[in-house]
Amino acid sequence: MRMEGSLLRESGERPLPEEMRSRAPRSRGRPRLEYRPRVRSADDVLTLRRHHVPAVLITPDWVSRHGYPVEFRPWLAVPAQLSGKFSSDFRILPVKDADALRDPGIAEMVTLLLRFDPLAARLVAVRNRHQLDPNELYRRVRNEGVEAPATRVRLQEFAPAIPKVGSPLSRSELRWVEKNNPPVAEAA
Amino acid sequence: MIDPEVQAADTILRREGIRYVVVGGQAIAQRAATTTRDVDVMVATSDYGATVARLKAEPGLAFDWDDGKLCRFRFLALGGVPLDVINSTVFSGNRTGKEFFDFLASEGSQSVDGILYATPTLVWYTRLLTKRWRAYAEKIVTNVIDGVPVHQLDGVEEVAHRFGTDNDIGPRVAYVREELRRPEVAALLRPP
Repeated sequence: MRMEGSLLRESGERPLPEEMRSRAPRSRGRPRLEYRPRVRSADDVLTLRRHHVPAVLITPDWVSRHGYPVEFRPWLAVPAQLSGKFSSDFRILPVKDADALRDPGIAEMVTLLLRFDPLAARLVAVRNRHQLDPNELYRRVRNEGVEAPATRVRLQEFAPAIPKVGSPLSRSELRWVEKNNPPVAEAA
Repeated sequence: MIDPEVQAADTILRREGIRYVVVGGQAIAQRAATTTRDVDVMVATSDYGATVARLKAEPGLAFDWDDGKLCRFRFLALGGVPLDVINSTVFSGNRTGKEFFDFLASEGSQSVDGILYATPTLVWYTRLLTKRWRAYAEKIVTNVIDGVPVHQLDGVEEVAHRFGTDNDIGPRVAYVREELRRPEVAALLRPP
């Protein structure tokens, strides 16, 4: 059994543009016509957000601008209970803490990065430490259940309350990773 | 399209007649995301000393340091991006550095635009044999999430068996497999 959610249009709210709606296969006995948002571009994600759907496109540019130059195929982060409701060429990153997608800042970015690249999460935290709210980081890490990767890259240095789960990488290894991945300005 | 840093390395190494294989992040970049700009090239043990000596005379490179296993140069025209020359003996286990290099060049690499790049299997093998293997294990997990087939890990164990490094590699590959089994990672590896 799994839980699923639905995207429902509020009364008075305009529907998503036609080109973003794809009809979902209709199961037997299911009366309503269901549409799945089709997300093909960053603009589509913005349209979703304008319709109050908490979706975030995690792009290499976004991460690079925060001090970690990296290339990867973008991830479409969406609430876990809605992750099966999207049709997209982007890779889907199901996120437990849907609230983290409302207005993501550094703490949210670090937490999302922990899901697929903990070393990147560490470097973004290091290079944006003055904007990183320890309470917010603690809350996001706990909500998302990523204490283990957070511990491996020692995010307790930024939010000491994060419970330690598993063993961390050595400080020398982390220093070496930081040295080998200079921030954008130095790398350019 | 060849990365400009790799192109710069190839131009110099080719001019000097040095046989090499691109390893490290630039090799992984053929298959998956990477942060790397620096270029790691492996040369046969027998060529290592001569390679270092010739590259020291290259006007486009600045010599940084050499410990006999790895020698670092920097590309002057590319803002000091490192060029690391790696001695194949470091990874050859109970066989010779030449044997490891020959295996890398003939079976553990593929040619792209005339340049030999190590396969992910060989990059992962070399990374897991270093003292910073745990940090590299994180990168391997990220590589797999990014689409490098996980079966390349089987190849790592086969290479280790061939060169007698099973005792080091075995537990490290097991660690990576354990990481890949974590629910939050496994969820990202399932096809949509």
